[in-house]
Amino acid sequence: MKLPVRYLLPGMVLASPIISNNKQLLLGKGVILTAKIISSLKKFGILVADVTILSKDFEAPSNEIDYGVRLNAVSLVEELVMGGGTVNYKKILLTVDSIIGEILEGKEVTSNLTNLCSVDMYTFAHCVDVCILSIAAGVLLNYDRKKLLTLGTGSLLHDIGKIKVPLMILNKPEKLTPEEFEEMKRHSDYGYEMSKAIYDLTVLSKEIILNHHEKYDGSGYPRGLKGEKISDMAAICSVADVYNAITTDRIYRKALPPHEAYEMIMAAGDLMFKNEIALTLLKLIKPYPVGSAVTLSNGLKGIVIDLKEELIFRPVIKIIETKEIVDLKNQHNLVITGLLNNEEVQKLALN
Amino acid sequence: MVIIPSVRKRLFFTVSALIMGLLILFVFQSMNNYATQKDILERIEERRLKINQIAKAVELSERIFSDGKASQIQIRELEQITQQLLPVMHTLEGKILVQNLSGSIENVKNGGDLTKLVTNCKELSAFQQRRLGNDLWLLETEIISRGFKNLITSIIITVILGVAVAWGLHRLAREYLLTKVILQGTTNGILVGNEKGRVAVSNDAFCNLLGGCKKKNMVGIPLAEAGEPGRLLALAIQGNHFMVGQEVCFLGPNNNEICLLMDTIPWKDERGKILGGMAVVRDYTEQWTEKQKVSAENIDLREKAERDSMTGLYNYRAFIEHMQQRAFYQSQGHFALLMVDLDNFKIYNDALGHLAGDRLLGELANIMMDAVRDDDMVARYGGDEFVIVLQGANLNKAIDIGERLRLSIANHPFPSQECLPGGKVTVSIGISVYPENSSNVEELIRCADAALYQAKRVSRNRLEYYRPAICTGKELSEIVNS
Repeated sequence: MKLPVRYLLPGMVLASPIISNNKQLLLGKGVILTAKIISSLKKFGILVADVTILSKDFEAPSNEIDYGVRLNAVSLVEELVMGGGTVNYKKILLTVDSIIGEILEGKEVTSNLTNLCSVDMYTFAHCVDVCILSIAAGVLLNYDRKKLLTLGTGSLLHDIGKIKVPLMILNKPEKLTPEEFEEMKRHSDYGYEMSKAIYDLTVLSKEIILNHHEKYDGSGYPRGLKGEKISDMAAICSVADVYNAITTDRIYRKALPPHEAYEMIMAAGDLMFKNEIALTLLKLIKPYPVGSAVTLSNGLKGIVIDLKEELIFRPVIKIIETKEIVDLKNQHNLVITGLLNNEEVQKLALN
Repeated sequence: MVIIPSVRKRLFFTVSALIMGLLILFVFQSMNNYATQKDILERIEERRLKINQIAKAVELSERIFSDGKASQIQIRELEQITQQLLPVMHTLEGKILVQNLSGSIENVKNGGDLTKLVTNCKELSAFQQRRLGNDLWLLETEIISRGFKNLITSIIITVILGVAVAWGLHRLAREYLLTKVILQGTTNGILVGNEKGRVAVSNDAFCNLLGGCKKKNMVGIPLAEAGEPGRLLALAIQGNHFMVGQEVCFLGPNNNEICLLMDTIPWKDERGKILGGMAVVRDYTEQWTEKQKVSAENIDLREKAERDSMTGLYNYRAFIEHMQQRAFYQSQGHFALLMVDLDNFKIYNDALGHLAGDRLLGELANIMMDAVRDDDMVARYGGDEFVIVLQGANLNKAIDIGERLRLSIANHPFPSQECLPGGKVTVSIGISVYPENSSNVEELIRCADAALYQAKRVSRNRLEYYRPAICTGKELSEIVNS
């Protein structure tokens, strides 16, 4: 499970590697944290670490999209943004295709990079996470490779316009003033302008960049488009964008736990999002991912150790107190009531 | 459908013609008899009248003579008699005698000789007596001649009728005989059923073709009891089916196989009423046996041509043909195509030799045959690639079966499998499903191929199903470079 750095405790084991601002691998998977490591993580500006507290009991999921591929994509976006769009389009395509390849292999798509990166890298990492989610949704919607490349490229670049928004507004911890918000809204247009510089970028990809904040009910920006006027690709990117944003800790608000994010996307179907597309994306989301600590309706606490795709709300759980394994699939009188919060996880780890 | 006037109708015509003829004859005879009788009675009456009149005249004349004088009344009576007699006298002599009499009456009236009157009367009477004798003879002759004429006419009519009836009967008889001759002369078995589903006619050849009948005369028994052809004929009559050259095979009484070619012809009359039907059967056993032999040989040949000699599975050609047939009958519903490829077969071949490689393929083929149902198809696509067509399987079912197959191969203790990377023989599987992925055979194979490529690319020992997102390296470079 992902824990903010301040909740980390010595003795916890890293479930995923930690990457620095300059995309260097700081700590590998399986490293046992010490007090020293934790303090240096704070120094490096790392916000969250993916750790496991029950390393003996289950193997952390290793089925994540290759870090190399993801970091490669992150640096590509950075290069593009910093260099003003001089990147070879073919290079973007190949990078997106390497992500498509990973997804087709059936890799986990919801474990996001955003949580594991520092503030400065947030925008780029967010772009890659959204790109991954969008492509995975596109695969479920039976898009062919060409369409997936268009969708992936568009969603990989969807937030490039943010580079023109002042950092002061972008990273402001308080609520934005209406003027600031207007400026913030302009990032879609900025991005669209920037994308024109990328030779060969398809019209549909550019449309994603321009319309990724448009909402199905017309409440979005910049143009307030409605319903079918927004392309499906932009709609996919929009849902993925929202999901990734709300499940990430930001300076101005805490991340929502996966099951709450799931509920929220579900509730927004046909209001903010086209229902079909929201439902497709929900198929990718696991409200209680493997490794998360949950409370059950009988008051016991447990760790999710296995998950069937079709029964995402009824995983296999190891009860912490009794060490017994319960398959919720067969226990109809038992349901998950919620995820443990960070303090409770920390308390558990201390025991 | 054959429309025939019924035999019954013809018989009815003949019989009614006969009755009509007899009736006409009877009426004619009675009319004739009546006319003759009337004629003769009239004549007898006339003669009786004449004799009466003449006797009266004689009596009157004798009284006048004996009285010696004639009274006015007597004379008038005599005149009346002569007047009555004159028109009924047919002979010249008779007429003269009557005129003589009337002349003598005139004489008497004028006071002439009475004896003359008496003589005349007597003469007339004598003449009449003579005439009566003649007349009787004439009447006799007349009666005889009339009777004779009647007889002749009757004979003529009877003869004509008889000829007509005989001709009709002859026609019937000839038809009947012809039918008999045809029935017994032909080597074809003939069975005729009536509308009640019973046998109306059958011939010996039919019995012989059936391999013998329980009853020699089958007329009247239900058609269903007249062997397999009888049963079919009953059905054909009920359903009004016209069949030609139907092959009918069944077991004979000695448990030998009998095959017949059978035509069934239902009959209807002009108004569409079913009268029954006819079955014509001919022996076909020899040709059938021959044909069976030939087709068995053909099947055998085809089987050989369709099989891969090394593994005994269907070969590429048979697979393609099978797929094209499926594409032709598009209503066949779901099926899934599994493309199975042996991982690292080249290494195995190079390390252990081609013979070992061939044995491995054979063993693999057996495992695959065991993993699928009877109506599924397993074929060798080429080299170390196999295809499986799963009848009626959707994607989930295909993944299920494919995954089971993959595991059972991975867990099978193949000989010398340690030489392979990973230490075991594994396969990669690509799946495409009809009609979701494509309803085109080539496209479907391409889809399975692309899925297989994806599986190989990822990790081997893996199952992958087709999604449009999947494409081969070549296709990708085409997309990226375009």
